[in-house]
Amino acid sequence: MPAGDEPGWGDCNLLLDLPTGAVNFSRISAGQSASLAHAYARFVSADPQLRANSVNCRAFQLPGPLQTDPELLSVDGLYTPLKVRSERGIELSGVNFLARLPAQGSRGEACLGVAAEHELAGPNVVENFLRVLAAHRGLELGGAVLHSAGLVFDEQAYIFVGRSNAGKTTLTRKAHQHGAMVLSDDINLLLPKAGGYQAYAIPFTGEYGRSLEHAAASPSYPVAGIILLQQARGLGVTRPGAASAIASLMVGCPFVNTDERETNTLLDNLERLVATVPVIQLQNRLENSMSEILSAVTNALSHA
Amino acid sequence: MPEAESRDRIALSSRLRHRAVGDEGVLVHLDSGRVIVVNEVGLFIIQQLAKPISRADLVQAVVDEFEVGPQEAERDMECFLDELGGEQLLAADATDPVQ
Repeated sequence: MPAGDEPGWGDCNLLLDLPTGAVNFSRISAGQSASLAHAYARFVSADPQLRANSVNCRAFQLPGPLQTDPELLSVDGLYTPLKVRSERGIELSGVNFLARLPAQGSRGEACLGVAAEHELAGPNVVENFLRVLAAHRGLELGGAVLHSAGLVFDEQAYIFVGRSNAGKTTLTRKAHQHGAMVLSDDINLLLPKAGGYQAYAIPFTGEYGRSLEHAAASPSYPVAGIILLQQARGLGVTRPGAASAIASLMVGCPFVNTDERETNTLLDNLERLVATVPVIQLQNRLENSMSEILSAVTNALSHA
Repeated sequence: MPEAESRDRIALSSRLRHRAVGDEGVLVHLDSGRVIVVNEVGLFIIQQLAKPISRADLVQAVVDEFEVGPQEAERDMECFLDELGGEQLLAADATDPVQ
């Protein structure tokens, strides 16, 4: 794990104003700064006050490539950085990087190390670092980061939750062709606000890619409902009980749902979420059109 | 405590977290990430297992709480305990139960 005295990559800084709090990348090279600014253009900020209250992430050079056992970086067959709590914070080991997050997510010192300069801004490195940070910080803010497709119709966010291969990306593609705005087809942030919940565009995308930056769009949308995806032979909607809804959402909260220090907070947040936002279960098959799905969903949510 | 009596005592794994939601319970296994929903009786048993308890005392607690005979309670409880054991939700050693 990083000791703290490793050499940096340069003397540049880049501040990202994310919905879960600001992150300042320091000691990065000009090339790394340009790559990060390109990847996260809509979140770049130069606000000095924001910088002073940000998580400061010190970039550093690893002495050589990591030899991490891939078996340790897999959960249910999906690549997941290894996360261990220490006295200094939350230590992460991933493919090509080591990192440390502050134990409390909103402020403090973090670090992120790679062996090759270009690796830092790669999706396997910085994106995973930011995902884990957002998952912990989202909990502190009373919300949750959910594996889901966040789709916006008529200024309302519909959060489709499902495991990998549940059809999120296919649904996202259909919804986009149907005129929906896509927050993300992979991971979305829900935070409480004004008696309801808002879904935030956070810079994490899945197979659907980063094609929709919607820079002119709102940074967040009110959540109209949460839809638990289930592959089935036909189209149908059921209303799960609160416990079943919480269990389904809990499975879809990456990085924090098996962290014993976070489990109770996550359960608290999910209890409030399902008590506030209607949750339905959608049985569907790949052949269902977006019109059919949307009609079933909006009809069920209006009666939920 | 005699060894036989100690062996008869059961408790939840320290790697399990649970939450009552209405009449049901949500169980989270911290190692596997599995999340399970149990009904009212299952939740009651889970709550009893927060501290080491003998099978006989657990059956009696179920009989006292729900209108059910001891044989039926024991049969259903054993099925449920088998399920919990299969999910690695019981402590291997009931002297080292939930924290």
